[in-house]
Amino acid sequence: MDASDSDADGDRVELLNDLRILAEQAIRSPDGPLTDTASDAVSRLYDRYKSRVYSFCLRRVRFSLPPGCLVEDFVTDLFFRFVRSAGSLVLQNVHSFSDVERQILASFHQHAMWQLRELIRQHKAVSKLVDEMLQDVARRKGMHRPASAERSPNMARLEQALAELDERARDVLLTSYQHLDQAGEFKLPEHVRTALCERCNFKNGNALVKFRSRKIEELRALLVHVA
Amino acid sequence: MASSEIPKRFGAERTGSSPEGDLSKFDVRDFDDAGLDLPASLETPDRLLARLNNGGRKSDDVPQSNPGAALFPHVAFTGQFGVGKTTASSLWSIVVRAYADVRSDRSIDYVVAEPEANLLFLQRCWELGAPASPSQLNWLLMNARKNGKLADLSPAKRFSIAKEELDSFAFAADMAMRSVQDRLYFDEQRDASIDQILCDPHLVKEFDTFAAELAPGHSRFEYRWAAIALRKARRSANRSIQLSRFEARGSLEDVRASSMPTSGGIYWIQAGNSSLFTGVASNLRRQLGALVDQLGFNVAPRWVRDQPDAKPELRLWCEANFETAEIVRAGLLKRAGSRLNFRHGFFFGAAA
Repeated sequence: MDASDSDADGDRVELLNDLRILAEQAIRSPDGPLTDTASDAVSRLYDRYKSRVYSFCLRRVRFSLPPGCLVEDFVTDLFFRFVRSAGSLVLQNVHSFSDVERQILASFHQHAMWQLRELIRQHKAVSKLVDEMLQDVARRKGMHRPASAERSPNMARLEQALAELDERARDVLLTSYQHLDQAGEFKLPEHVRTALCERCNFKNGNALVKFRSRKIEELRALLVHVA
Repeated sequence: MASSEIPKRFGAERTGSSPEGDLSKFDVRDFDDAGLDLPASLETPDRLLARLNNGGRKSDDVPQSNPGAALFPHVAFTGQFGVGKTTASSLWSIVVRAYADVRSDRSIDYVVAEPEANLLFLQRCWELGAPASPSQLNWLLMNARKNGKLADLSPAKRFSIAKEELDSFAFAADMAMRSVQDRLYFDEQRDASIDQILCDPHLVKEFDTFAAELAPGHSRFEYRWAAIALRKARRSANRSIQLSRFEARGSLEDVRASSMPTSGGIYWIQAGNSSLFTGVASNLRRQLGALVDQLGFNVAPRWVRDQPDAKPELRLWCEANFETAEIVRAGLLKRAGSRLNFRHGFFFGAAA
């Protein structure tokens, strides 16, 4: 056995030991604070894989992330997820260091896929909820609203954000959200669209659509805090 | 290498049929970190350790007391695996507390069915940290009483829509509910109860759309409440009935409105050998008038897959007592089935 084999074997033993510690922690106290031993194991695992996981996320995940999500946060979440589920990690072959590493990377890959799927689903759900609230505000435009104490804090924040928009953007959003159909598409009647274009000085419907999309994204980004 | 300097090949996996692109294929070469510079925020495991020691919460979570806080922070954060690992018991407590906060003496059914009240309830749940979807939260709320979670709350105020008003759209709620059930059954091979549909924001929207098309001019809440009223009525103990007590009135299109009784009762519309629809009305003339006005003599909504191939015929059973009428309807549905009434428990009906 030469020196490199010996190093690899040492790494393998250390890695397996760290995984065992994390598995025990995940099973015994998944929500509780880490023990010192588990903290050390997490730090070693993180240092060992941080750049490779980051590289993977840049290559394979970055372009699929919902707007406002950062790769850096995704990487941290991925490690969090991996550590939390260490108790369910089953290694098939632990005879060589490269085999162990390959299985760990495959596990990171699997978690990344689940995490991304969940993130996209959540982002859609939140966007949809914001849409529904905007629709609700638009429908009540000009109508009596309950006193602020009776309104939910979220609705109050939304209305505050709307109030901070310029008049033109507010008009476009509130008018458009009065005509949002079940499929989430804006179906403005011709006369409404024409009047809105004239009122807000848009040359054509396309300009209106682009402006509206931009403003909706801005508003969502302002309201939906997606890490 | 900074993020902006990543070679173009990093974006190669953008295309793909699934939202997460082609991520399903594992390739160990994707983990090659040669020449990569880590951003400063990832250099140390501090953030990860802080989060693990903090029960899953991120250190930069926006506090709820901050008036400028983001909307739905818990939904945004907790969708990721195991954050907080909120147990069912803590969800129960959140749901019950949120309901207590927003109910204003209104019943659970009211809070689930009324869009504004429901939005308040869901937002309150999320503010309290419930990592669950609207349908899960509504479902927990619906089941809270059965599970004895609401013993400490004062009784809710009774709410009802006058039966005379229900006459003009109860049939629409019934048919719309069946339309959603059929759509789920045929397209997704799922059975869904009224409660499940009312709890799911997407399904209840679908229900609202169907109902508004069948009897326009009413609020979403009215349609939903009519469905809840139907559900409660359908729970009545059914009993065997004598079909001969139904008075045959001939083809629906030949029946004159003026000949219809203004009393309450049950009407049964058949097409050939199959039972199309059974309704209970406080005023038979008014409800049948509304039904024919909206749906024509064919009765079946346009989206029903198997349109009746025979002229619908009408049978009536005058019954002034509403509860008795509902029991008769339950018995009839069990015996003859229905193509357009919503499915409830065993009422799948041979003719349906």
